[in-house]
Amino acid sequence: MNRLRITLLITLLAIETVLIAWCINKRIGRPAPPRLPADGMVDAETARDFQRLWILAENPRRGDWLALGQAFAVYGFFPQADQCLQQAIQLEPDSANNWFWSGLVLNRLGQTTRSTRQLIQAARLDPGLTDTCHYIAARNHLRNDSPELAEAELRQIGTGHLAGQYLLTYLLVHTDRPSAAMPILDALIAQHSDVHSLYQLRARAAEALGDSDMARQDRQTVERLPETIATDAVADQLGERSFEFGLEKRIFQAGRLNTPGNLQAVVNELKAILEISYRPRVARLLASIELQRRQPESAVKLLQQMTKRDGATADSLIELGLAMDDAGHEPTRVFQIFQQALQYRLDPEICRLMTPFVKTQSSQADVDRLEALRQHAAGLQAFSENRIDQAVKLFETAASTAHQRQADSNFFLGECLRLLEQPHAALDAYRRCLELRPHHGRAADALDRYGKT
Amino acid sequence: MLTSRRYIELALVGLVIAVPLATTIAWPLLPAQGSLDPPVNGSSIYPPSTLPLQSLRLDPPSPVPARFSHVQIVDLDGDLQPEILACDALANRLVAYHRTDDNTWTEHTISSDMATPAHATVVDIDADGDLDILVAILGNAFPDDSHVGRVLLLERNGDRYDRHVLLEATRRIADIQAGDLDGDGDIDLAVAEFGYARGRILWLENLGQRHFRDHQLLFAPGTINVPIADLDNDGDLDIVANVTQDDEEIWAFENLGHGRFQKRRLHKWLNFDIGGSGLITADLDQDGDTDLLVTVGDNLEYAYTYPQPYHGCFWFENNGEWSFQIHRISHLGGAHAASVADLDGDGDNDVVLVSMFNDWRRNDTASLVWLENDGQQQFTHSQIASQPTHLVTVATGDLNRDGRPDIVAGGWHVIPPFRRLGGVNAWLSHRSHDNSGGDRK
Repeated sequence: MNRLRITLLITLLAIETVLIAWCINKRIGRPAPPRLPADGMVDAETARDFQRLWILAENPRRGDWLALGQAFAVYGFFPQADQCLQQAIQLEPDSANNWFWSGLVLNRLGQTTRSTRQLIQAARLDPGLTDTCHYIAARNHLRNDSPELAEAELRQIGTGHLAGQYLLTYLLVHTDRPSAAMPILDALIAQHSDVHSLYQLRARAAEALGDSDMARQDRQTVERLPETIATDAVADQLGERSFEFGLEKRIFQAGRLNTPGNLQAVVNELKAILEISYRPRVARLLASIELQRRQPESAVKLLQQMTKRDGATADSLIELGLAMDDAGHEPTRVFQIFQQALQYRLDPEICRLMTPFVKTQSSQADVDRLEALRQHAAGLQAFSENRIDQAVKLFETAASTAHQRQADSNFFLGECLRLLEQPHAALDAYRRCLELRPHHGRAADALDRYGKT
Repeated sequence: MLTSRRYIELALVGLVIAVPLATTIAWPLLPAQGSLDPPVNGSSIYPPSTLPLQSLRLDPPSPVPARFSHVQIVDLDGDLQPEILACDALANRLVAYHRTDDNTWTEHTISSDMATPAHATVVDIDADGDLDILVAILGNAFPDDSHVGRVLLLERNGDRYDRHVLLEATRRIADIQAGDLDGDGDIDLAVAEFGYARGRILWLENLGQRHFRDHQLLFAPGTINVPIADLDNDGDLDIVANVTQDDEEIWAFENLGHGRFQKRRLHKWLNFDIGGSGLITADLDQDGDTDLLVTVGDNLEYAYTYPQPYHGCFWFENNGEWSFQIHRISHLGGAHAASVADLDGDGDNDVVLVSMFNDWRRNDTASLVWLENDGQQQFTHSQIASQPTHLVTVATGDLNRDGRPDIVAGGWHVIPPFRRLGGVNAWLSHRSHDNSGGDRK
């Protein structure tokens, strides 16, 4: 009896061992999450986040491989992202997000045919993704020189998807079917009258149809419209997720901490982030908080470093000038910074900031010229935002100074008056522009064109 | 008393229980050792070049990633010793690199305080016998539709350059080229007003006394190059333009004389993403007319980039009568600029390409590539360099006066990864490896 029991136990143990060995083998054989191609490819904070995601993906629950794939994708490791998303699809083929992200990543890898396949599957699983998937699939087909397939995708997109409708009309115009594009463009412009790309495309269509007046009119309208169309769907999708991983997540969270009662904590956190990895926008945010905290010298240092490392822009120079002024720097030096900013952007705010310095150091004529420049800059802003009545007043004031630089003010005054259907006053303005600058091409053209009618 | 059999029995029972228990406890700790499918590799890597070139960094090393928008090889001061002229868009200055007698290079700032210089054109604009410099002022390296651009003239007067603004209140200016466009004997200009969402192509008529009247040739944003050449062999200068924003198109403006131009669209790409990045003129096939070389590979809309299969270089073969046959000659990922020279001295024109957006996370991807011409415009790629990365501009010329072309290229590092950095680099030919025509045709 004993012998039988022992035999049975040995048999049981043997079966158990074989089974467990098989399970362990299977378990060990599960795919290891891909690693970064080399050490030091990301900052320490992001590396920590990747470490966390690797551990999760080694013993995955639903969504863990997707999360790792997304992290790889938003940090630009597209081959590794693709590997993760293939695994995510294998484990959870019912997840639309897995297919969708796989489609995005394959698009970035230039694997357009595979990308389109994944996107179609994503759209099947989640109808909410349909328009975006068709749009990216259309871009994939265009990359493959298959405009017919692209058009077929675009025809399936809802009329409310502006980028999709725009791309469809773009294709029609550029495949010699401008008359087919016209009604769609008219309808889009009726709904989105402030989007300049639509007028620009309609101008191309009108030109192709021989309607040069409409083409010219649309191009003139383009100058006064602020809005554009977000056509980079893949870049946008990747950008939206970047705040969920690594250092970008920490920067995002630090920004959310930024309340008046919490400034010291935010400053500490932003300084810690800059220690980990230099980011110009973090330096800029920190400088602005330092100004709020009445620490202008610290802001000056940050902004000086930023302009050196990332190049100067009008905005960074304005902030630097203001910080230097707050910190009590030499007024001449502050003025030079604003002057430099004005080289980067003709901006009424910069002119306003320069005025007190000019008043104390220069002649009344210089003050008047700066004021005229300020009015002109504000006029340009109003003109580009289609606030024509305001622009007229500003250009009139600017043009009252007979300085050669104000030739442009007269030209734009002419443009505004023409739009307000005051042709004689407009022609007078163009003529004044040419008196100040006889070689002003656009004024001469306008006078040629409208002076005859 | 337990018998030995009983012990064995108990031990076996213990094992039957312990083995699965231990396995359960150890289960989460078991390492994953399986592998996924191998990763996709879309990067451009070529066999190493056999050209005897020696790499040299000219700008002083800096921890800050450089941004050089344009380099060229030119004898600025007429001493028959060519210099390198470079637009430093980070420090906002124009610099020249001179070779000294002891074969070292020195940097000299020609002009500073210019907001993001994009391109410099060297020409004797006032016909006084020395070379002036036209600088295309972008105003902002990043998307911006405001009036920040300028056409700047640095007029050479003795040892100094006097600064004049020839055109202002424009959007971002990416390129200026010079030539007598209206046949009146003075130098006019072709101007690419890149802008962002709005932009134009202009020609500026020289009225004398540094006054120029602007004429619009095309309303289109995103023009990056406007080279001037006699494309139709009729004796006057035409303008070509590379439009790369809403539309991806190559335009020509045929000179009809007396300042009149007829626009001709030479090519359009329906691929919205193709990323036009450069256009130069050259007689690649040496048949006596001017061909075009167009690079595509811009990816600046992405926070992180990756080379694409449609990137590369096209040769627009001029067949006369405004007919161009388009040949793809390269698939280099992220291709951004081209230069033409007979690098191997075999009598035909080779092409040098640089890449801004190869897969820089690998160590072996190409940033500088030689396309060796077999004489029939069939090209074999070889890799001259994989560093520095992010090259956007390239020029060829005989820098060390050994009778063979050297190469200079500039790096523009704005998108990670910031690895294998470089500003202005030269690859100088050296005769020690010259095999005296052993592999020359």
